[in-house]
Amino acid sequence: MSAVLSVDLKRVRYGDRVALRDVALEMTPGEILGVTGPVGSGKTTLALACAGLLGRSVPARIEGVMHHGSPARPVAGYVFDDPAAQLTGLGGTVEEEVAVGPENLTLPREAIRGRVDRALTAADAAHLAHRVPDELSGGERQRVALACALALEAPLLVLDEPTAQLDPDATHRFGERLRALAGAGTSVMLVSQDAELLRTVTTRVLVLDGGVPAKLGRASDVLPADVETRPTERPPVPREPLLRAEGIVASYADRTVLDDLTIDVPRGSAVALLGENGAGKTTLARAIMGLVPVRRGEISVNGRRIDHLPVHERAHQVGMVFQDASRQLFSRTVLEEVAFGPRALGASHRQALVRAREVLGAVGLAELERVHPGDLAPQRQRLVAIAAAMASSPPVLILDEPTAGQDPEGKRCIAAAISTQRARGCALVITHDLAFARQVCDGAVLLSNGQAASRVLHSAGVLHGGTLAM
Amino acid sequence: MIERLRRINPLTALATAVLLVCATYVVPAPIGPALTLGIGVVLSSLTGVGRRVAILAIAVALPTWLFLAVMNAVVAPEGDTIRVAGIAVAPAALVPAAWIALRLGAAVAALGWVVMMTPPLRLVHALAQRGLPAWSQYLLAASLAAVPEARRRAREVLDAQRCRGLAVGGGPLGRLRAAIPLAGPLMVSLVTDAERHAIALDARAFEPRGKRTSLVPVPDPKGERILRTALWALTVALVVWGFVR
Repeated sequence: MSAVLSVDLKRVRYGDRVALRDVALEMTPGEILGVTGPVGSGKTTLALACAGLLGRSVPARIEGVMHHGSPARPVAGYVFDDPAAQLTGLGGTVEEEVAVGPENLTLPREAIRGRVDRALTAADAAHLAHRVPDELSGGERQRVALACALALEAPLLVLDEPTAQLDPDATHRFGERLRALAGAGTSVMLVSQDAELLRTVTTRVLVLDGGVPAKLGRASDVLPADVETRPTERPPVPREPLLRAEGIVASYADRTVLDDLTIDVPRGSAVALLGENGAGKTTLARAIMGLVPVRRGEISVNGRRIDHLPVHERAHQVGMVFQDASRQLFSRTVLEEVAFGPRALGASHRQALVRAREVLGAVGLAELERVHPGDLAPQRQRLVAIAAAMASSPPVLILDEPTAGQDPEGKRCIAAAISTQRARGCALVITHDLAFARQVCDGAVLLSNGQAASRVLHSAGVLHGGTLAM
Repeated sequence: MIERLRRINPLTALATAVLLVCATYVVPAPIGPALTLGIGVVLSSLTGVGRRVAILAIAVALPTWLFLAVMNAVVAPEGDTIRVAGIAVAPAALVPAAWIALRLGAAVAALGWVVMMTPPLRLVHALAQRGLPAWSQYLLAASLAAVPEARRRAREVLDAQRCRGLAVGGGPLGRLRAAIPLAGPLMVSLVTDAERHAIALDARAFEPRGKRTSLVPVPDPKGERILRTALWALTVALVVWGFVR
């Protein structure tokens, strides 16, 4: 069987930095190759190279040989690790955005329509066809990103963390669809930190470490055994709520997203906010922070209402890390970024720097203080955003999808940050990572259609096997 | 009729606006600019963007008139002057300043009508149907989306800063203070976004010198094509008349 892709890369450099070396592999039609490894190990570089983007729109020097078996254009469909980066701005609606690829291939209108419909269905996004891309939630955007790549109907599909923001059910369906695609002859390169997904769908897994291949083989042989994570034993959490949002109603234009939602987060606790994509989790976080207007309801911290306060005054009480942390960073260095909050809240320049260095050390970023935040991997940017939010010592910390695409080391840093926050006040953690929630959080709230469908506190042990037990 | 005007092919709207801009500058003031301003405002009102277009036209014309009036009538007065509060003012200089501002307002109203009434991508699709190369389609789409994109990014940076305690006061001074820490990050993020867009396009088989087809048909009935030809012919005739009169 002829290879869809043959790679023999001696070196890939960004300027003087060698990002990848000595990678040789072949992919056959219908194969699903997993690629995993720590942040910064060269996974995205390999993915970009295999998709034919490296050395074109992504400046890099490639030494070696890369051969695609098919003369088809394009050689691969590509899904970015940041789904927002997938959007070209040439589509006013989701289906128009998905159509951009087939339009570039100068297909006739009927053929474009066929591809768009097939891609949206395969990506579980048919219901989003007429939505405006900019108004989608992170998970919804990730489905659209997949549809955009599928619509090219290329022989090779390269997916960089395609499930990082999907809910567990959507991830499961995604795995099934990937197998169906492979069954139909499409080869797939799947870059992921999700060991369970890699175990269930891949034919082989390549583990990269420090820019070189460390292991290549079947998932069961190269991935560490699935260790059942147990919740850390912690003393019982007091009932007294530190953060309380009561009867919250919020909407975008004529679409009600939160409908009479009530949620408590007790002092000294970390509570996971779960729910399928588009359930309203991010909207709740933004409403608490004051970034989304609340039509009805009350928000209080430590018994004092904050819903009448402007955002900058709420910052004394609430710190927030956005889902897309890269859009939250605006300073020239990591140190300045983290020091911004304490400075804005009245600390002296020196005090702010001391505090910033303290927090950077706590999340394992001390060595990066002089780096430009924009030069960091998205997972590291998220850690910087967490440090920046914590630097002001707010009693309430809200983290939106902190573990998306994180390697085990990144997750450990985030768990440590949540533990620190628990001692200072409380944390609300929006996540689809049930294993992480189970390990780190004291309880969970499941959101469905803008309402708290179920609530489990003081019993992180009930989060089992992808479902929230009641 | 109004519904039909709202669904007008963007190229027809563009041809109308170009004719109005030419008429504004070629037909003598005040009749020319007043007439074209009137047409621009009526078209904008009928298509539901009247208020926004009026605000834009006033926002451009009024400061222009004030600036020119101060410069020509007060700072460097020519001709007969009168004294107002001890300052020499040349009232005759106010009139040419008004005509310049009126022309500018009329041109802005005509072009503003097209930009505000037409979703940018509809214009791009209409041009794609006319065989415009892919690079110019993207350039046009990016240019038309530049202002809303910059506003969205500015909002994101501002939100991030407010979330960390930066107070953004009301009033012009407060907004100016907020703009200073905003400017640098905004420029950096816009450049980063442009790079990301280039990669996103490359990943979607975008060939700058190639052509593109379109999923979304933009109706272009025969009547509109004839009207458009007439509008372009009239524009050329106006420009020629402007040179020879």
